[in-house]
Amino acid sequence: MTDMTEASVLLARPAIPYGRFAHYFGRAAIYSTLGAIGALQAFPLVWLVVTAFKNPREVFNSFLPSQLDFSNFVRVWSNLNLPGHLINSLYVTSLTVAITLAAATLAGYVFARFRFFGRDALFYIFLAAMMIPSQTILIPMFQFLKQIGLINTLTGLSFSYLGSAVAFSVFLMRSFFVSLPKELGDAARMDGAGEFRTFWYVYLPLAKSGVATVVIIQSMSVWNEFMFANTFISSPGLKTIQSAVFQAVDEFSTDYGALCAGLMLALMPIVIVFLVLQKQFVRGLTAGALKG
Amino acid sequence: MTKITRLLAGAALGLVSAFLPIAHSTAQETVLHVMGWETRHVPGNPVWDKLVAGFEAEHPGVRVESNVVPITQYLGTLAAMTAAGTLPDVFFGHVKALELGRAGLAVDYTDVMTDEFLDGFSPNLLAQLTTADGAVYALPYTGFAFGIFANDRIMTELGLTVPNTWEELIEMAPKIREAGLAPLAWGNLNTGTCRDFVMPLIAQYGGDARALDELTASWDSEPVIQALTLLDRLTKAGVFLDGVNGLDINQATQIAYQGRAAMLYGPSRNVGIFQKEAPPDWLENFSVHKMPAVIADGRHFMAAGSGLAWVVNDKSPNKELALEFLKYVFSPPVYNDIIAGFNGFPSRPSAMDAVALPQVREMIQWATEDGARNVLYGAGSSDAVDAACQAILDGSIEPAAAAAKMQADVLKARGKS
Amino acid sequence: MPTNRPSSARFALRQWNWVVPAFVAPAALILIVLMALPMANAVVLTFQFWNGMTPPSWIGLSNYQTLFSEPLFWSALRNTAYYTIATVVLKTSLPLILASLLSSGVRFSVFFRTMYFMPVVISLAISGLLWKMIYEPNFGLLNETLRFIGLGNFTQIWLGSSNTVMPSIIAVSLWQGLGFYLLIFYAAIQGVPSDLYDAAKMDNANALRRFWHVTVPMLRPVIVLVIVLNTINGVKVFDQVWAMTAGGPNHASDTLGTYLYSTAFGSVGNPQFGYATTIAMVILVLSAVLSIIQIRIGRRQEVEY
Repeated sequence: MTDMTEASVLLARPAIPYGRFAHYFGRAAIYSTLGAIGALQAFPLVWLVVTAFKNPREVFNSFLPSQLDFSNFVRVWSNLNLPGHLINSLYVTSLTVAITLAAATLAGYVFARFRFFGRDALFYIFLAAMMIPSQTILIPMFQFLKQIGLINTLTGLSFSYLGSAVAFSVFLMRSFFVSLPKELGDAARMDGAGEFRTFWYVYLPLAKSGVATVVIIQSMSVWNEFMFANTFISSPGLKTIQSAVFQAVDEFSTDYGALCAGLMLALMPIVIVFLVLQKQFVRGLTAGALKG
Repeated sequence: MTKITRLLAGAALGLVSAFLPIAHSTAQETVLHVMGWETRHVPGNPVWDKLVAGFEAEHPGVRVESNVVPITQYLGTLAAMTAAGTLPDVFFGHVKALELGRAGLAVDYTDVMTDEFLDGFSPNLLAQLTTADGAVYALPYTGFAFGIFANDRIMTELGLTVPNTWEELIEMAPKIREAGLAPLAWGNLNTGTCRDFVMPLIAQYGGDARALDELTASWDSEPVIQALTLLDRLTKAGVFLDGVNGLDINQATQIAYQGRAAMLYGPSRNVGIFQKEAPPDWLENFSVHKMPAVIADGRHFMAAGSGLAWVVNDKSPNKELALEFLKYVFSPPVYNDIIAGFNGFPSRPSAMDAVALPQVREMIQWATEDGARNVLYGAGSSDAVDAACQAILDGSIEPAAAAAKMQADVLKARGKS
Repeated sequence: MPTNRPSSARFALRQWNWVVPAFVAPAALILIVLMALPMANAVVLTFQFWNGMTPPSWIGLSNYQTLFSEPLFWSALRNTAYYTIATVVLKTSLPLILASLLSSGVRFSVFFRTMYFMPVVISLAISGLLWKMIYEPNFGLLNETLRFIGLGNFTQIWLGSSNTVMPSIIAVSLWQGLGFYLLIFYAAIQGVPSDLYDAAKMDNANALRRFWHVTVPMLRPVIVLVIVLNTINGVKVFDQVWAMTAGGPNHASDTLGTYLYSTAFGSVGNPQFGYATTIAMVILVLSAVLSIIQIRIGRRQEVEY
């Protein structure tokens, strides 16, 4: 009961002026810290955008462009078949995410709700798959894709991402399912539902935020991937946006304006997707992605 | 979504995936796969389009497909393709040309091309690509020569003339530094430009790059040690940019553009690039000069060679077609157009007239007399030189020790391969 | 936080006989075909010598012997250790602290969260290019800003000198990863029941003590998760380093990941796929061992999984 005594003693103390000051000072310190770090985070990107719009002569002389100059974009765009490459990236991303979701939701569900022989060991194997550096499987994957005739195809590229995508997503989905109560499953069974129906109609809808999380993380990861995309795809028309942008900006070696314009073009789709989906993403994480 | 919808969606996705991304073309067409890092070999570039159109007209049913891989990824992609057996039909060999040849993966041009054709190439360029036993695995596409680009405005303001010897350069360094400028700008990050600097120095001291590359001469020898000592002195005298190991050549070029350096070290290709990208101050004031020599009337050996050289895949089903392609590319009207359109440095003297820019012509002239080999094909040679160079530039090793290390590194690499 | 324990008694045996294999099958199939098989190939490669051009030849443990006696390997290992420790510490503690701050009732938290997350969306290759421009000693944003605010003496050749190159790369990694882990921690903090905080306030615990005695213990599993993720990513790091320095200058920023890539694909002699895969084995074993240790330690107080 000492806490109560302490508390009442403290409450009985007269209000000291600096208590309030300390409170506001604390608030101010917090806001300025958050703001400063936020500025550091955003500044390079702001610089990127600003430089993309600068006239080539101004790149090093002033921070803000005197007027919005779109010539950089024109130069980069004409070297780049942007819509075509966007579609390529979109295809690869959608295919990978779709297959990953299907496999990972099923497997994550089972890991979370059932006990079976070898469950822990199997789970650790999945975890281990996340630790493999991608350069290691580059050559074996290349040979494998060649054997099944999918070299230089976007489908083949998508398959090459599936291994690590599924490993990580199973991990995530399991955490989501673990936080859902088992009583729902029991209730469903009492209503005569089979296992798959229980999964599909009862648990999966509740794990919507988990699905959203997997979608966002995997989309980002596949969209931004560079090494496999460059190695497995050799036809120019099939290149993903990352390869294409790098190829395009290679020509503008000293031209920071064009370089920044190109990078901006590569970034915009994924930034837009993120801005649109970010609420679901946070909701997804909040709803218990990571409990245990 | 109901089950039926999901099934339909899955089926649709499956169908689409079966047809959409297939790269193999339909039956009738033969695709000739060309690969390189030349960013202008893309549809949409007028020179390339004309070239391709002409070839396709002569060979109906054939489509030329060009895969441009950025230079920084090139070796990686090439290695992966080699390992998996999916090399393109004709491609730039980079430093792997000779290795590929020895492994039987590249065509030996002396077997399939006429002597007349091969003689049409610049002798010293072709010599660099010829092995000791006379096989030629790569055909030089364009050449390059390295030289000094000076900003005349700055030089005049400082009352200086472009140095003729290295001693002169070292002497004028303090004065240029005092003015807040860098004497000689270039960058070594990622590109091994130091190799392009040091190899001609070795030649200037009497070394033989080819012998070194083939290990018939040791890297731990006088010319090499002297060249490295000079590099060390230049570094310590402040001739180069601070942190040259951390700058890439583009950044160094930018420094020259902005008037923060008196001189720039770079390849002849720069002249064409300046026309496109350089600000007026640089463009109107630059002049080209030979690399300084060791003594006043010594030979001004400079790095010259062919960085872009075509290799034909010996295991390709389209081998004959690939050879036809090369014969076409090097035929006078086509090749002249390429040289003119790309402001290139021709590898065939017959195209000399097509060179539009006077500075490039000048550099070609010098290279014919004083060109020194700088591209190394032997296993481990490039890397050993790069490592030694970087260490000298950041002052972490003594020249004699560096030379010994180079020899050791190359031996180790050869031992492994 | 109670963890659900499925009690096997409730499941009729006949039911999960087919469910478990059927549901796990797609994921397991994908992992076996697209991960395990290539890995198995890779393991075999470690006992061979292969340059991609001629058929591979068996050399037993020779790759391992060469690896462990190679100074470049040890320096890459040192750099990797430095990178991993720094990123684990920085990318766990800073996001945690910031997430706490954000949850303490500040306004505009959505705005802040979005700003912090923006760099995460960028690909590593692009951010490498971007930061290369920023770190450029003569014109880059960083040195120009330092000169502008009068701190011209502090300008460095960030990516070009061996003593600043690793910290510079670590800073970029922190910049890029901060938002991601911040969101994870932020979400987890939302899940902490607020009466715990109220009780602490009643005990007159200040913000620091509340953080240390309420937030951190409640978030233990998430913190362990973040540490494990950071460790795994740190040990295999490649893209960030390669895009900016390719392991230079003169191997000062070479990590296990970049060393692997350059021996497999670079101009170091011929490609040495067998030797390179040996490095990959080291990476794998290292991250596995570290992760298991961390998970075990983290489980000490957790309710059984």
